[in-house]
Amino acid sequence: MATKAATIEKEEKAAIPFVILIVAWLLPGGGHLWQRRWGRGALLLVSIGSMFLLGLAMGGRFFRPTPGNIVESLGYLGDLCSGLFFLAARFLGYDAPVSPLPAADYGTKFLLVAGLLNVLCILDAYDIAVGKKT
Amino acid sequence: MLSSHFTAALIFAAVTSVVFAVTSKDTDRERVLYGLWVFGLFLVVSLGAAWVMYFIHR
Repeated sequence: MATKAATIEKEEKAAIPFVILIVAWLLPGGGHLWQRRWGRGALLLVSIGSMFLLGLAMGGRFFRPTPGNIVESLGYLGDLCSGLFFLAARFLGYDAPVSPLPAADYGTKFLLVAGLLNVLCILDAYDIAVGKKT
Repeated sequence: MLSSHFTAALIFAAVTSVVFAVTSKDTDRERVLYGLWVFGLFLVVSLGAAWVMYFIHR
């Protein structure tokens, strides 16, 4: 009986991470919130969300997937890692052009790094889900 | 929007430090200390790099 319960719990633990990975990607801190780590999740959401919104406010541009241009393509992947923030911005028509202004350059970096930081959050949420962290 | 490059660097360092601290450490105390440490390092390195570039430019 104890072995069967442990097996079921193990299977449930093995199945859950896929959902958590998607939630964590879509919403920065979402993976933590999903697992009831309210403080950490809220802190990550506010931090990464702020960075993303500041990037938009500074007029940063999103990278575009460009065959043959690895910098642009990797930058696009980085932007994509922001999940719903990026998708919503694109859906709502945000499309800043390339600008010589320093603020816009910072904005572009803020947008990119917000996505990259979310990758760390996704990995942390996964570690919590599989029991490597509490 | 930004008053200076330094302001942007401060904001960047603050956000990155928070994320590093939350995802790397296990207890709240460790997270706070590590976050402050990383933030301080960001400031030291960015200011140091700025001075190095200044003297290279001269």
